[in-house]
Amino acid sequence: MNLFDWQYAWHIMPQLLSASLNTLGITLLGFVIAIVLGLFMAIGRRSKRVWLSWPTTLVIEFIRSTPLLIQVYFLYYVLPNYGVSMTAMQVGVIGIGVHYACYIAEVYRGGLDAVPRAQWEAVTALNMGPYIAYRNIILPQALRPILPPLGNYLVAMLKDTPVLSAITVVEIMQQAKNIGSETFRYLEPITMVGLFFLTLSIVLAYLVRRLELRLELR
Amino acid sequence: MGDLLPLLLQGAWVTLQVTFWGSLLAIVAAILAALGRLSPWLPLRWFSVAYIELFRGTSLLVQLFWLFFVLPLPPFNVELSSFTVAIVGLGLHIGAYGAEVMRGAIGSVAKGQYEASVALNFSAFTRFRRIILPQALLAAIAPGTNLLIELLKNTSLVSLITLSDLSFRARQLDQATFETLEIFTLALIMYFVMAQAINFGMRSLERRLSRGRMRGGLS
Amino acid sequence: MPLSPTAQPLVSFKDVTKRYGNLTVLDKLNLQVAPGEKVAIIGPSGSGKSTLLRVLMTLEGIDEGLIEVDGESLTHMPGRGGLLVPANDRHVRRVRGKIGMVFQSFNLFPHMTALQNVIEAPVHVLGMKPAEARERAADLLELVGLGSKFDHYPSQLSGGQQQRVAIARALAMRPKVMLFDEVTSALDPELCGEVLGVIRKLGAAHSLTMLMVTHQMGFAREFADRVCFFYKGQIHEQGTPSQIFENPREERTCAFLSAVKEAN
Repeated sequence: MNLFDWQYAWHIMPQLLSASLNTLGITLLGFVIAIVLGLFMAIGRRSKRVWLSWPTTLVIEFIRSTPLLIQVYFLYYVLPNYGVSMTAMQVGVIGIGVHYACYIAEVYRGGLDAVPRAQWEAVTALNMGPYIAYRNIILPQALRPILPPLGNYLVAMLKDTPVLSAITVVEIMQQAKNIGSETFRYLEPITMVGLFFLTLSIVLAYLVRRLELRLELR
Repeated sequence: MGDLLPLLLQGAWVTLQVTFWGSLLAIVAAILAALGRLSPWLPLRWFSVAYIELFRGTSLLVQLFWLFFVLPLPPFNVELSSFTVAIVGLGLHIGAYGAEVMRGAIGSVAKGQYEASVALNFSAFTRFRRIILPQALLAAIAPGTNLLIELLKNTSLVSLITLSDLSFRARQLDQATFETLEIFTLALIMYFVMAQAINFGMRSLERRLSRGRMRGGLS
Repeated sequence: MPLSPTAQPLVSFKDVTKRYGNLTVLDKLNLQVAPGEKVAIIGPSGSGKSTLLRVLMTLEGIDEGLIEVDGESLTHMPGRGGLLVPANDRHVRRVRGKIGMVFQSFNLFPHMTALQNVIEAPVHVLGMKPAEARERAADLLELVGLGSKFDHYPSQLSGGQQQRVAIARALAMRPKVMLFDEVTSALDPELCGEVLGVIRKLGAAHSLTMLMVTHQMGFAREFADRVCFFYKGQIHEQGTPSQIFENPREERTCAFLSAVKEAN
């Protein structure tokens, strides 16, 4: 038996590619959720109002300290008992989005903390409402240095999507397992999936580094 | 709820064991890979970079599945228990991230330490073992704690290669009793408690190892 | 007091040259140090004084020339047929073992107590038994006046105390030559005296050969057997302390000494 059956690999490529679209879609949608939700969580955590900051902190720390797998199990199996029914894909996107929102909230927090106090004071002195203040003054300064870490979390999310296979989301890893269990040849499908992630993460990491250079952060 | 706990605790015990042995492997792999990365011998450096990029760049689940499904088949024909696969996969995966932490930590040791060691005629190996590594390990504790907690959380994936850890037992119980809310809430709380224990343990370790390093200590 | 000038030099620099890119830091340097001699090296910053000590301690390599310690080359060893071949690690370590160095920034091991700092090298490099090493270390720490500080960590000691531990640590390896690289420059003025006092004590009691790079002119004047004025990678002028400090011949030496006098 030969080492790597190239014909077989070529044969299963289309199936893997179509599943990879799922993987990419989940990652991108999840990322959008994460960066929007994360911003609100960061602002909530930094709030002076204790009734907002303490619960937010607790939620962030709890979600960050517990496995994504259990969180998606929770969403997928618990919520239907309370009348909320979603497809596995929807649960997957929300689960991964909320999970990473908590990591990204911490990145935002670092970025917001790094904005000089004088800027916050100027915003108050000029009587700017919070929405305008954040949009025009604070966020543009806070966001530049944190773009590279955000890019790194995008890569991390991509590599975490296979976890969703546990709730039957048909992303690329699940597809590979299905193919393998039909033909009992696992080497080619799983190795190809590995290469898929490796290539994407190298390309994305390279793009993040280019971004860092362009923003003159290195 | 009382009948849920024993099985969940059994699973948590497996989780702890995998975390413990996986951490040991990760630390060893991190130190070796960091040294390899810094080595003047090119083949060793390339090997270390390849290891680091490969295990960081691919998904942990892919690595676990590869070890679990692919290795037993020809041409490798290596059959490993799911426990072994769990430890090897987690250890090597987190070790690759740990290598970067160690590299930074080793680099943070003051150059004067190397010079004093040369002046005292230490061999490179003894110098690393007695002078550089202890100081590097102390510097690595803070970023290392985050990695260990990552390792803990990642153990949940071994349930997908049929190892009876906390996540596996939770799923099992859910399918048997459908007390879904209680089971998964308990599981989440158990992971949370374990993560805080790691946090606490590492902070105590850091305090103990840096005794005497604090400014303005005892007279 | 140094032995007679005809005795074989303990340390010998022959036409030693070292460059950093375009910058020549040591320029065909020639220096012979007799056993037991105390040599002070003075000169403006950047003249290469520290580099002289550093290449002797093998912290850096040289581009040309020959350095010999106790009759053996630092960089080469006798090969087959009596030819000189590049030295292997064992040879370098053997020759290096005859030299000890004390640094400007002390470089004590922060994760060890004073006593542990002093016994570390004898135990792990010389293979001494820990009990024996501890006894010797205690004697050395007493010698430098730190008999009550054995279990203190470097962060619990003043700069002067740390430097004295560093001296004890270097002495523990029984070197034949001790190098002192601006050992008081990082100390507050009131702490310099205790370190210089220890060096003075060492000089009187032992036949230790010493090379010290220093800005402490007063100390150099009363302690050294010979003073070398270093300028642009070469020994511009050398002689006894009274020759250099009272009757300097070269213009640059005069300029340097008067600038130093101005500053004090």
